[in-house]
Amino acid sequence: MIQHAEYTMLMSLVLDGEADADEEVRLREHLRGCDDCRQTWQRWRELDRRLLATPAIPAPVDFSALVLAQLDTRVAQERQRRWLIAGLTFAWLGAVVVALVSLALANGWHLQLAPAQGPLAAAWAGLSSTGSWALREISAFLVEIGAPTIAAVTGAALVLACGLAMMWLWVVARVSAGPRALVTE
Amino acid sequence: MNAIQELEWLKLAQRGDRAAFARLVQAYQGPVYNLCYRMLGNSVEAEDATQETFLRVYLKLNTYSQEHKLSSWMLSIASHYCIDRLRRRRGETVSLDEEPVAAALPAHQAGPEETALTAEARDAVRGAVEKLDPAYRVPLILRYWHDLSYQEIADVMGLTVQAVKSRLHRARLQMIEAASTSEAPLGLVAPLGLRHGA
Repeated sequence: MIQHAEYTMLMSLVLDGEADADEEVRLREHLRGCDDCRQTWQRWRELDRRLLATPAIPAPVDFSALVLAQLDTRVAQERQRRWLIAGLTFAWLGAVVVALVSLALANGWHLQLAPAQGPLAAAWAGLSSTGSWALREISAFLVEIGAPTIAAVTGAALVLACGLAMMWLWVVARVSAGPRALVTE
Repeated sequence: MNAIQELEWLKLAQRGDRAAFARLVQAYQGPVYNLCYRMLGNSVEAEDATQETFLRVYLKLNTYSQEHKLSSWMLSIASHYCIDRLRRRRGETVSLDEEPVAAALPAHQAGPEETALTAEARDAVRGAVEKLDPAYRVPLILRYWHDLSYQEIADVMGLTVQAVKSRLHRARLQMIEAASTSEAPLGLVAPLGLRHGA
């Protein structure tokens, strides 16, 4: 059977004109000695003949006028879609930045801005101290609540994160597919 | 349209020249419509899909890379759109009698008996193609109605040549198998039972 399956693949290649000379010879030699494959080959050739004999369908209308008539609308929709995706992305990033800056301000980052060291050095010092403060607080909190709670909360957080990520991907996919996809569901 | 003209129209269209884009639409509307029709099985959806394909082509013109043929790139956009549409359609069924293909075909000098047989055979072929899984239907359509090589089909579908070989093989096996059980067989040489599995 496996050997015969190999020959149906060769039949397919020969019909498409994609078999090399060796493959054609191998198929022909096999067909000489195998009645089953010869019968299969006849059916495959007949199928090929019928597919080739079924003509292409001509376009019923000139699509150029129809397409041109919709171009302005689609270009405008496309621009709107890009703005929407950019807006959603910036909103998401903005929320993260606001959360970080709030955390830094809550930890007194602004109090460490020493003008003598320059604004970049002061900002870096403030951010580092905020980071180490956050790590200290998180580790103290984790020790306090214990391993089972950590496992449960981590699991729930992962599920929530996956859910949010999937929602985000769904929204972006819907928006990318254009306004039609948003209304056809 | 020769390759130089096509390139000229393409460059103009990429700069926003709509008349040049209209010429590209006219040049490729036949192959794109034909693919959409074979994929979706009815003229209304095929016309809609053809328009949508060209709108997407226009919006993506600046991303087109000349390492692929323009026709392959357009057919790729059309086939992906049709596959998405078939996925959305899911359980919906489309009648094969919605629009007889014969009505859209050029006049044929044949007697009534021969014409009837030919139309019947065409319907059987069309029905058998429509029953194929879209993953197998696309390469078969591109092979038979667009005369593309394995490499070109691979470019259109984003597959390897080996995968194209395998899908065309599976498509033929499925059609032969379907012919052996269909009420309207393809009329292949009896007996139709498939003896050799893949």
